Amino acid sequence: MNVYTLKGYLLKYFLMTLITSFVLITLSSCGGSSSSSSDDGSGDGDLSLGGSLFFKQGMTVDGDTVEPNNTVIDNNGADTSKTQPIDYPSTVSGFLGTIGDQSDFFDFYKTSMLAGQVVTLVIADPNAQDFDLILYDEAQQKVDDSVGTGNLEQITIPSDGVYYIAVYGYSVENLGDDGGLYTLTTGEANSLSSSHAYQKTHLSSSDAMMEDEVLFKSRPSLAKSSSARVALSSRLKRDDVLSLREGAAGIVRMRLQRPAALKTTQIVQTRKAFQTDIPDVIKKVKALRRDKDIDFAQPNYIIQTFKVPNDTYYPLQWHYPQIDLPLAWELTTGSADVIVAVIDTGVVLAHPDIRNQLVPGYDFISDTTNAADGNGIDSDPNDPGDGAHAGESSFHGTHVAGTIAAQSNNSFGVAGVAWDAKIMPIRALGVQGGSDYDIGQSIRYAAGLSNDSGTLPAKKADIINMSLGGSGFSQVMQDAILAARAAGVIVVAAAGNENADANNVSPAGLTGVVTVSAVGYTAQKAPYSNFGTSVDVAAPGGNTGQDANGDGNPDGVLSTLATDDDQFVYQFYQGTSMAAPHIAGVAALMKSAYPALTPNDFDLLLAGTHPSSTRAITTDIGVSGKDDLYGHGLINALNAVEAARTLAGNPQATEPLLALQPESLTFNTAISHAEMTLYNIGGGTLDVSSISATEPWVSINERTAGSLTYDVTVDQSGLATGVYQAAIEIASNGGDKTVSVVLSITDAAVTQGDIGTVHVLLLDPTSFDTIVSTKTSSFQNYTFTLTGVPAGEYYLAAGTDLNGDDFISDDGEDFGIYPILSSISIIDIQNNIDGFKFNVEPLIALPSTSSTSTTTSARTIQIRKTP
Amino acid sequence: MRTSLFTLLLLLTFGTGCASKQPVAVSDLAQSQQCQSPHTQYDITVVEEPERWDTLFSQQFASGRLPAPEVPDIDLSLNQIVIIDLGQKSTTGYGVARSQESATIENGVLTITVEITSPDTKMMHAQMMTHPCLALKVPKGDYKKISIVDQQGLVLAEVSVNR
Repeated sequence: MNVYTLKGYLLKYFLMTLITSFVLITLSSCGGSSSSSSDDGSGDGDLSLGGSLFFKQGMTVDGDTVEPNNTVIDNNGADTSKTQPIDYPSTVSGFLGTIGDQSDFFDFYKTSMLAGQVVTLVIADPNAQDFDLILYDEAQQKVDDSVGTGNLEQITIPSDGVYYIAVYGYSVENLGDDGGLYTLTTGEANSLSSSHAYQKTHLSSSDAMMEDEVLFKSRPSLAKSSSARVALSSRLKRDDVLSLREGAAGIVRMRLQRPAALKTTQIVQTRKAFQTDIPDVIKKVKALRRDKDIDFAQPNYIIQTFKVPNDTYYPLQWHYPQIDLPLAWELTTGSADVIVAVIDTGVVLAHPDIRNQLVPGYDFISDTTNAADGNGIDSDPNDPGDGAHAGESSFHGTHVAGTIAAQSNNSFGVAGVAWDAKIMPIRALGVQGGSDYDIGQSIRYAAGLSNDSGTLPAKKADIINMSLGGSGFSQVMQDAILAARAAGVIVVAAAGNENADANNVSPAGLTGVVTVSAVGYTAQKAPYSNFGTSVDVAAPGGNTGQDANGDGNPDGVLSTLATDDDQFVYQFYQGTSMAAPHIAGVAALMKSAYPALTPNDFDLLLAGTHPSSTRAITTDIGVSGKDDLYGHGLINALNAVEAARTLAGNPQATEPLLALQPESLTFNTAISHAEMTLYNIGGGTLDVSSISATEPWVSINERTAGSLTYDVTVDQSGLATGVYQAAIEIASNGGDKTVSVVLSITDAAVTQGDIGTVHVLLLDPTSFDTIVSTKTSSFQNYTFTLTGVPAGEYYLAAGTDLNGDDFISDDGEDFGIYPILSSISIIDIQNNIDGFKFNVEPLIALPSTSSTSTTTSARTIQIRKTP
Repeated sequence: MRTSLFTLLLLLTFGTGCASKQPVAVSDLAQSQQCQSPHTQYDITVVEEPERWDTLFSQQFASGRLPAPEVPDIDLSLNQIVIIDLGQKSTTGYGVARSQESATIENGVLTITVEITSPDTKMMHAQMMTHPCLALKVPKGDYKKISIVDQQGLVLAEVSVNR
């Protein structure tokens, strides 16, 4: 950010000043280096300099700060009218603390935001201030908070609506702090909260935690001495502390009095407009973190170890926890880009728990009698029922499809393995069963290969599931499977239910197929399941002869179903038919984590011999190593997804992959240039075949050939006031990307928004002392005129002083130097001159990634607003 | 003496009827492809008590289905329930249904003709375990045995009816 460049710049000049100051003193003044101080400072000269200030849309100022020249807006939140409305997005520069003879604890803002947008608070001096962020809904109910102890607080908006945002001066109210500056922003989601520094200091009362326990560790030097630790314990043991118990690794568990126990007399509070209480346990953590003898402190968090969908019948789906799916779902719930073809009896397309999970499919049953839908092959894969008589239909395809990707976490029905994957329903099993030929055509269609329908799917399937089989070797099926595999499709098949050798079954015994045997609740081979050397992996298929988990239902696999009398229901089924879709679903989760996953990758991962990851993706049950009952073992969804993520992070990269920064560019009247950099985050060599803009006012130039760094400039000449959009289109052998460009031209005489009073200064270019100053505000549309300017060289600067410390360049204030902070230049004033336009922007000290503190060197040069 | 006269009268009245086939109105009460019964092959069960029907229905016909279906109503003073169970199968494609001919009583034997379906072994089939069974509502009557025959006339199973 520009600030850091300024620091570097200013540091350099500070050093130069030290060296040259001796010289300056001896040379004596030639005017201008010291003058009478006047608040609206004309100097000793007779020239004038004028201009105007610009600032980014959305910048605004807290309505109650120390700046005496600002219009006061009462935002103390005593009632809902005492809240300050702000637009979206906004950057608010604010202050909490002593203002005159009052203490300002709260600044309340009101705004409309959408789900997923974030509110971020940056505390300018976190060593001196502990400020917190609280979010309320339109009915003034607290929704969330961020009450940590670092320089950053952040809350993500949970749902579209009107919100009140409170910046709470915790240290001002509770620790005698006389206050400091902050910057509050509302905007799109950012990655600030994923930084390690943020995680260390973050606290929120919406995190699940014990309400009466705190964990801490004393600082290393103290921790070595047991007498020092004892002294610390007795010092910490206050009225609100029940006990202190040291455990392993020096972690001390502090038990607090339950909050209710402390309230000996209940004082009925007058009803506050906004409840601002912070839980005692968090206050205790804050206090311990301030303690010089404490290394770290945290609440005793209640860790939720896995993600549980809210589908009605999910608690009965024992077969998902059996293969660690809830843990895998923490990492991924799949992707709509991944398609699993279900070659089966068709799917009841209208089933409420499936209908939103589908892409178009096909019906390849060529014999009309077998098809029982009035014709041969057609584009309708709806399952009309496969029963010889009414009431006998299995609706088997609907059950299998539901295991793979039933609509999950939608408050009814069941969950599937890959919540977000898509099902391609393909009908090949009719009332008489399925012919080799029809199944072969189905495989070809799913794989995007030519087939009898004369059509291809818009996007081929990534995985094919075949919960079907018959005895003998089928060349037709073998050929189709090998072709599909060569096209990159992972083919999964049920081992069969004869309790016999799967080698004698097609497709289970064919080459290129992932063959799946079945286990029940107790993770033992189901009585019916086939076995043999063809079996690659085991998955839950169920054993309805048991109720080993005691839930009152047979231990089958629970999934979606329909009936011949048009009901949509759910049923426990058992079979290797039910095991195979668990594998297909896990493969879909893996594909969403690593889209380049090939059938060969999958086989190698199952075997534990993949060059990029030897993580076992199965639990080796039965005889050690690969065995006839379970193949490489019972699939483990968590390990499988983690292995896929490893592959994604260490791509067998031969292919380039284009990335760029930034993904969008915004220009305005003052900013007409930006830098864009392209990167290859894959392998090989990135070759950019074309890069061009869609509008003539955007030009793009590569700095040096092959540098992948581009200068983007916009030319406003001839464009009227308004907002303009364009795109930069980039084509490369690593993919194509589009960068959006926005140019906002405002009337020079009118500046939107109000950031309060801004002080405009002419500075001595070597000492940075203020020579002449003036003020401007929204009343002047942020135009300014400096008068009484002596001829000479200056820097032209502007900034706010919200904390009343007489400096305009504190973190948390708005600041700028002509022409732009990243590239300031000296101006030479020899005549009256006008037209100096430049930006002020908020100085936000974002968390540093380096471990050493930078606060001591942050502001070695401060711009004093008065000469 | 009176009894034998009574019996004679009965025989005279119904004697000619007994000598020829009487049609009986048998209807479907419930069916499932997922019967949770312990039977692994053909079995016939006759049910006369309401409590036993409630239990059997929830155990065999409703088990595994969500939402659980309700027990079908039946007047067991006038009827009894005959459950035909095909046993456990390793794929779909099996079924049992009443055939077109109605059930008949002849010589004290109630004969019910059913159609048994089996999958074509030359085709591929869904690899799901099934267990077809069919519960029939059978009017009580003057028969001592129930015989289930298939469409070829082969007797699949027989059961004596206690009187």
